[in-house]
Amino acid sequence: MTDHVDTPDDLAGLYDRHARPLHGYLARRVGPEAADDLVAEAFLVLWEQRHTFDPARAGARAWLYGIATNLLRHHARSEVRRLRAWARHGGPGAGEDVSGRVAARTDAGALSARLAESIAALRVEERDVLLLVAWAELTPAEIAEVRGIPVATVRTRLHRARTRLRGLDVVEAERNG
Amino acid sequence: MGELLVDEDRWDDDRWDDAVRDVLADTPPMTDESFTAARARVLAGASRPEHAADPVGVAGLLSGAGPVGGGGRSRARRRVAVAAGVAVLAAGGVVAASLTPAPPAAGAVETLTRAADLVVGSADPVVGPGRFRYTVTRDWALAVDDRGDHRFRHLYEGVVETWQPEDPRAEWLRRQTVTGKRQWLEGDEDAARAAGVPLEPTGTRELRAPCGDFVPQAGGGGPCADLAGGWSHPTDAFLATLPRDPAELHRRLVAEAGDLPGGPLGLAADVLATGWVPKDLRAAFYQALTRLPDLRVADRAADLDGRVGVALTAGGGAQAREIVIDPASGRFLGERLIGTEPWEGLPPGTVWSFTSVGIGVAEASGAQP
Repeated sequence: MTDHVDTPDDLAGLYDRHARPLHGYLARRVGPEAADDLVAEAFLVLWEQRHTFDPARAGARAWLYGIATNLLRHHARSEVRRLRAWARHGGPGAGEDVSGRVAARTDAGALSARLAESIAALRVEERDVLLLVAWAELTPAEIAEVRGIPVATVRTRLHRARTRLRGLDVVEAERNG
Repeated sequence: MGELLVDEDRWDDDRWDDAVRDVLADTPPMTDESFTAARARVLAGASRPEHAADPVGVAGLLSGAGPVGGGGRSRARRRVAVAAGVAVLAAGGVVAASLTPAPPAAGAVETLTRAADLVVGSADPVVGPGRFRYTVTRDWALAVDDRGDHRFRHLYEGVVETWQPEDPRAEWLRRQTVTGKRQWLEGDEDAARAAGVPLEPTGTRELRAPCGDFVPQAGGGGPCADLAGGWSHPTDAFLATLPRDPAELHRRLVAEAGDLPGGPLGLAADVLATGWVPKDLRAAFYQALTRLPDLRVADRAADLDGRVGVALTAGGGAQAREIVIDPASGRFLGERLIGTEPWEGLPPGTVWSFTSVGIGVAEASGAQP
């Protein structure tokens, strides 16, 4: 697998490998329709700026997600609305369970819904880092490279985000205790 | 996707990440039509003759961080991401901020009102042609790592310096330094190395870019595409649009903060932390914050790197955001984040994050004032 972006063929290869997962990340954040545009835009920015990113610092995949996250800068409000709407509608798999783990599934759905609310309440920069880790599977070091911030700052933001989510843990323990 | 079990005593980071992965996981995948259409658009764009590219100057970095990850998601080594900073006692302990009942709110209002008066009577630094706004932000970051029964808690110092040219479209310089200063709160360096606890590599890196856009920016505009800015990107142009009337600024802060963590005070802190808020606006921020109903003094002698000021806070939650102001000059010294609940063995009142900001006028990019 090459990370060079020297020719349109290189770009096509990167697109074929990464477009669908990148779309998945963007669609979860701002919806499938906006993601359609943003995927193309992210690859075009990568192409325009191909001379400026250094594969030794982070791979093209990480740069793509970093660029895509920058493109989300003006979508924060719609992202929050989307997360809250998803939470209100009960999260994943509501009412579909036929297995013997009804209670666990129901709890899981309720927890995911509350997690969505908590993610919506995060500061944008904390949400970016959390979702780049959890949804895009970037490491803190990669995020530091592609966001141009110290890795200590990435860890700080991730830590704050996770700590806020952990607040749910306490709530759940009380509810289940 | 991982099973979500909610009745365990405690989840580690990976389990939490699994739970986050389930959020919105039912979003429909990219359709074949979208895939094909976007592919055509990308390749058409890539085949066009190049317009004069305006490269973002991110070259010239030290390659300290190295390649990362090798694919799979980070197994996070339980190196819990960590707070930027726990303030440090001379004895090496975690500072516990006072959780005693806050003094009357009047103290906070008086502090800010006086600070606003002092600021109005002060002078903003004049940068001038060929010189640079110099900003230095210093923080202590807390690293938490458990290896079996061995607990490691240490703090390390980071410094970010920025040189901004008079014309923001010209090249900025950012220098990031991990100083190597560490303080061990639990465990020690030898034991940590023996146990394989990853330690922050010491070093300095430099980033250069016009408009301070140190990473590739959105859209075809390239760098400097967002000179207008916003609350999360407070450019000079954005600051110029903010009301100087305290009542109006208060209204904007409350409306904009919504239910964001940190609330209106956090939003104001984000802007004040840039260090270069003009004095009329800084005074307006201080006066606007006096209108917050739960504004209070958290600490009359908050110590940021030896710079002592009054820490003010407002709002509730698991963490309390504080701004620290020098009562003698009205200067914004920095901010703190205080944990109000126990976490990772650290007691409530721990200063989780502590950042101090300083400014000056530099004669040359890269030269300290």
